[in-house]
Amino acid sequence: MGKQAVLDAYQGKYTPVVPWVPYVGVHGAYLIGETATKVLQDPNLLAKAVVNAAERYKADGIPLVFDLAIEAMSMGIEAKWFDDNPPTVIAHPLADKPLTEAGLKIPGPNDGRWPVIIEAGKKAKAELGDVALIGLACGPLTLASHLRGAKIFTDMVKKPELAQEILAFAAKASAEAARIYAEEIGCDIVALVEPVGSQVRPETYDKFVIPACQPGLDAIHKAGKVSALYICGDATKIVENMMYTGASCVCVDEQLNMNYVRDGALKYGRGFGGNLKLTLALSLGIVDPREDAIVSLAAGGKIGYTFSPG
Amino acid sequence: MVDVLNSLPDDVKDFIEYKEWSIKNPEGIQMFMARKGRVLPTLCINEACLYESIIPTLDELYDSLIAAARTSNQKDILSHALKKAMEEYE
Repeated sequence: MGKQAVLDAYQGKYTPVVPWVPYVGVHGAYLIGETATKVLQDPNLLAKAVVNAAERYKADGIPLVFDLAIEAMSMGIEAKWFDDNPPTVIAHPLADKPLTEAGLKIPGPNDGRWPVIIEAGKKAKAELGDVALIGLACGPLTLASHLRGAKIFTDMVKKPELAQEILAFAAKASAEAARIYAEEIGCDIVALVEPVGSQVRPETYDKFVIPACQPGLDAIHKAGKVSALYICGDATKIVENMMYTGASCVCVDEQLNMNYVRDGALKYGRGFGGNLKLTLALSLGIVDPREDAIVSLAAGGKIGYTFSPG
Repeated sequence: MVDVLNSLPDDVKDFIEYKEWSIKNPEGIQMFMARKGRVLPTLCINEACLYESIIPTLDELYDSLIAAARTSNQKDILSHALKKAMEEYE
């Protein structure tokens, strides 16, 4: 297994062998016969799930946890737990209340779910060996959508000053999460994850999301760690914008054309990752996973490329 | 994306039937193909794929719903809801 290969690829460098980073998520709980609800609240089980999955899938790097509700829940925001999925935020405190009246504060390492995540991360890191541990912080736009709900997407067009205020707060919380992963846990790589980032227009991404990502990226770089952006959905329209956000690496969904992503990454000297078809190949078997993997590997090449699910 | 529909007022949701289809099961794939979907997520209204990987603003969504409304009463309710939603942005 090769932590250094992942670090090199995430920084846009050549690797003799393409590194492999499975985004295991709560599937790791299933692999050890436990529920997501239980594993995500037990540091020993979470560490066990991560280490077990890394060994089983012969990973070069692995995320500690893929759960974008940690930051919001650690602010005290209500969420719903699932046994086979990460929790979902179900309340939006800023939907009908201004930030000044909502009583929200940036959660630190002792708040909410963070103590469990930090303890699990330290245990997992100690046991992983030559495997890069990746911290995944909720990206600022996604966190802003947790806080404000769907209105944030109208705000960015109709009330940009309000959107900026909420995004600035979300950016600080996202940056603190990134700092916790980088400094407190010691993750080798930290990514800002923006599942809704692909659902805004490129000009909106440039105006709101790129500035809001800077505090998080600064926190990662200040800790001397490698940064990345993870995005879900069809991000074709903003993938080039992501390349100049300032992150070292951009990892994409199965819907993107890997040749297009590769060309953008090479142009900007970024790493890039993806995009084994999670749904069509791994989940449903409509596309042969082996053939799909070969297509991704052939497109990705050996400069800056990390093979991952999309 | 479905959150933007969840956020609609109750009097609008009274006559709008909406459903989130998952691409992770055969039923959802069949629906995606029947609608000639191209990307995920996509918001369809009356079988037309209107928002492909774009979360509409509230006024865009209301305009689309008003255009798709089947009765004048529905149009009135939607127009009123749009006006009320936009009060926050005046």
